[in-house]
Amino acid sequence: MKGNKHKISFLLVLLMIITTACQSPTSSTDEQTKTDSKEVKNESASGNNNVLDLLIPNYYNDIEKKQWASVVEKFKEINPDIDVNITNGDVQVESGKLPTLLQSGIEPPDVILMNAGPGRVSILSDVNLIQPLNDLYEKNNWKDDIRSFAYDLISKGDNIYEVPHMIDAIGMFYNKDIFEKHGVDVPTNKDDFLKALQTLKDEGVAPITVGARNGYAIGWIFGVMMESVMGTEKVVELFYGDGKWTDPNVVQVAEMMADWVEKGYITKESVTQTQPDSKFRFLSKQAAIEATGTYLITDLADQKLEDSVNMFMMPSFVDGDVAQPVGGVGLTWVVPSKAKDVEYAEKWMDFILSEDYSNIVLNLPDYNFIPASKASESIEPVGEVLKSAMKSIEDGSGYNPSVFMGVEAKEAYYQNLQGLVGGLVTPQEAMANIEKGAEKDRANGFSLK
Amino acid sequence: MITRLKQLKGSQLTLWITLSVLLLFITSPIFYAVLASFKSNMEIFSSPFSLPKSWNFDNYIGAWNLGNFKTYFLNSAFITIGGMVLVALVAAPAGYAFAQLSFKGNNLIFYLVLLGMALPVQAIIIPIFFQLKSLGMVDTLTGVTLVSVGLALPFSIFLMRNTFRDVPKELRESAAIDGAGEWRTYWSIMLPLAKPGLVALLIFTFMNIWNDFLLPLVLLISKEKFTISLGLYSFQGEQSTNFGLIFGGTVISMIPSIIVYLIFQRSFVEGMASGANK
Amino acid sequence: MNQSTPLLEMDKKSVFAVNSKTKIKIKKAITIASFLLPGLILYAVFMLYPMIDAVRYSFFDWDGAAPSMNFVGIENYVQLTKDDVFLKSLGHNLLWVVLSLTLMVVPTLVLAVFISRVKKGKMFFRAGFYLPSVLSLAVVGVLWSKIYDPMMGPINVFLKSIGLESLAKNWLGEPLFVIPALVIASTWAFYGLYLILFLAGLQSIDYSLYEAADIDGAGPISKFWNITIPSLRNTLNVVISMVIIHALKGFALIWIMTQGGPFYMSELVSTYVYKAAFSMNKVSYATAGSVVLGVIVIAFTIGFNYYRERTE
Repeated sequence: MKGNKHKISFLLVLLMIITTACQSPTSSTDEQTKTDSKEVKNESASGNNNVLDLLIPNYYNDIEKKQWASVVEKFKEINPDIDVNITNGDVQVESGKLPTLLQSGIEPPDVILMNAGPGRVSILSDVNLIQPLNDLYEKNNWKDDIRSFAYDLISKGDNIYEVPHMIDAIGMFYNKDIFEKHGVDVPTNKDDFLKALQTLKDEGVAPITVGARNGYAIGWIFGVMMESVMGTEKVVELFYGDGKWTDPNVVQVAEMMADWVEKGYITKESVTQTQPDSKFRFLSKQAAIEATGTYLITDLADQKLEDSVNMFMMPSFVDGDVAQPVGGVGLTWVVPSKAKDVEYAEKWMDFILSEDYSNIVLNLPDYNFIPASKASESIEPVGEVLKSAMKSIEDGSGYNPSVFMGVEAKEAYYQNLQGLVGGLVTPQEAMANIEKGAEKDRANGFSLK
Repeated sequence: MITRLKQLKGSQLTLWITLSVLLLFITSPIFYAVLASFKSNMEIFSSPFSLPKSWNFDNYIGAWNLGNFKTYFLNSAFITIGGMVLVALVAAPAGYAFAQLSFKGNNLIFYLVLLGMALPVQAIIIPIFFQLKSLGMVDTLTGVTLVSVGLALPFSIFLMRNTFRDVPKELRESAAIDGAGEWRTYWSIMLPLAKPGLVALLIFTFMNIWNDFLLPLVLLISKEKFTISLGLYSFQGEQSTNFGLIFGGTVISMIPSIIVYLIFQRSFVEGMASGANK
Repeated sequence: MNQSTPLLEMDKKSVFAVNSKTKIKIKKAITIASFLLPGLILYAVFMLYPMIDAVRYSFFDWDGAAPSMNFVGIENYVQLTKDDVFLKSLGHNLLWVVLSLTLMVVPTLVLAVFISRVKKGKMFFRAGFYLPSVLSLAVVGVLWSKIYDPMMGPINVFLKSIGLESLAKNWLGEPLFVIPALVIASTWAFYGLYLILFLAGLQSIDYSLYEAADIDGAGPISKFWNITIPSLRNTLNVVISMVIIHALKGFALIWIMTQGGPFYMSELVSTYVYKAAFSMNKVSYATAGSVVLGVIVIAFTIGFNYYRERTE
């Protein structure tokens, strides 16, 4: 035991040296930023240099980071007196991090880009963590600046709490080279589509990969299948009408998914894959198809795959119908109730809806979102994939279920779809479970009507 | 007699070989991780069990830079060292009081403390979160430190009480007769005698706080506050397909606890055994 | 014994200073408080108070954000008994307990016996076999989820390379394998502590018992059953209770490796409760679930200690 004293003191001293040594640079920068922000505050008092604090999702890759930088640059060009400070973080309501952040008493950002959807935004607005923007809408006439499809989605309630940032367009992304190699053409009808899956399977290629461990990702492909098999109207009925998940039409979709797993169209590893796992398999050409959104575009650029990947819509299984990409508002801007610089937030959101903004981003070859602004409708994006995605939503967009569900139904949706992919639950049971969740949500007062 | 000795030697040899093979097998995941951390993704897939083609540190550098491990390491160090110091400062006197000082309700209060030993963290983690929130300490390292200490206290007080109980009371009494105050007696006479227990306590606390996952997961929000465990977890979520990078991060996360273990190996093992047995 | 000495001492003191008895009393109380209070306050703030809060929350309906809570009595508990997933999770906890006991206790004891037989290098083996227990559960979880990976994990790569493709499973994706696979990882992370406890216990066995048995011509297995096991009774008790409590409390490994999936197949009470509270905002409902878990663990611990004290 005697030696221990020396050892302990040695270790403690070592740790202290390490920590102080490592910390001194960081702490000094901390101090610097602190004094910086102090100066900024002083200046703001005299009306010179002001800071807009943004909270946006974590970057997928460097390309996205650069895109944001050029956007901010443009904003500063227009508003030279405002500085922009970007923080990245978890902007999902589901993980509980965003509500916690807003409740924690830490000074909130001025404006937040969060995962959209009535079920998500209402969690924050119900308890007044974010503020209604009705006045701002009126003052800036934002209603006319937003694609009408998007505006309809966010203006159902008494108050409007958000400014939509982009429209999701989720479809089937495919590896062109794999399709070519095995003589598969992009299918345009039901039979061709199923035949294509079978051909790929027979040729020893994994047809579809899914990251079923991440609920939202398994939700993407199921949403795409619902759109194709049921048609938009019946999907709308499910969320905005009296539709039930136990309806034979919905069960049919679930049966199809179970069937695809059985037949090997959806690879059996999908059940334990996360979305990044699945994306990796797809991008490394180990699977032919992945259902995902335009977010993928920056990854394509990052890995120089722009020329060998494109997207197509799963053909409609309803006669005479054309399937649309599923979506809704994907990301949306909200303003915390305790935000200190609402006027800057207003300027920022106005900028997002402006033609200036759309001009910048759509001229980036690797841009990955369809802006929600009307201004963007008339601009043709430079990137090929985004071009086809934007074209496909010209006539409107389908519905990505995850965005439109209440908490209970969504959790059941995620879990039961994963169960379907793992062959752990029958389609009927799975849909019955989701309906049970939806009933609970209704009982808790959740409704989109 | 000689044959017996030979037999014994022979059986010792088989025992040695059996145990060595077994040890190699059981620790193989660690070796696998270390080897894989030097390989590219392709190499891990094509030759998972061989030595790496070259010993390059790309994965370590990549993980260190991409994964922010420096920040995580400092945060963990802050929470752990702070927690160890606090636990020692707070639990040892309390254990001492329970063991050596007499006061009304000694046993009752002690049983109340013991209750905490039986209580699983999982049962109270939700209220802890909301309480910390009302204290404005969610997403702060101080908050995690304080909660960690609070949760470690029942066992720590228990351990220190047992340690101090083995110290003869006469020592304290004679010191009192010499006119030394209670605290002076504690610092200069009793605490040095309780050193083995204190060392065990510090080792325990180090392991518990450094390796903890649940508290940081629940109580920390922003990435720059993450501990090494939480950082590794989020890193593997982001890089889940880059095995090489993940193993780099994993090995980085392993190193501190292994170093501490190797330095204190002996008292570590003994401390664990005595702590758990009491 | 504990009580009597201080009393004596008080008497001594009172002989010296009868007059200022109350003064001394107050001074003494302050001294004692200065020793006790810092610890007790921290304990009360971060354990006792949350414990009371946990019980309180569980009788309300609260989403964690609303300014007011609705009292609902035992409604949350009633709902729990009807909640298939919660009941399933409880069942998984039990399965986890049984599997951990099987995997952990006897193999570790046998290993300990082997190590205790080693004449030279005992320390080396003890230290070596303890090594996995030093790692954090985050490290263990990440490491093992890669080991079990269906495509690139070493297990399946190995099985495929020797032509046993059919045995290469998606270890964390199939209902039959997911919990056993998790328990193996958890055993790997925890057995070291029990090994050390067994070694300490073995050390204290009277060696002459074995010598006597040798003279009687007893074989190694009979010695193990008739001498080792009975002498290790106390250690076995401690180890078994610790294994059970650990199994009931499991969280980190499951959270990292499967998050309770696929389709609730590895859901334990702790993971279910975490999800309900922090991603579905069902704070009071989740708290009720965690109270159930807490009560089970506390009841078991107290019952076990009672049993131990009675039998010792």
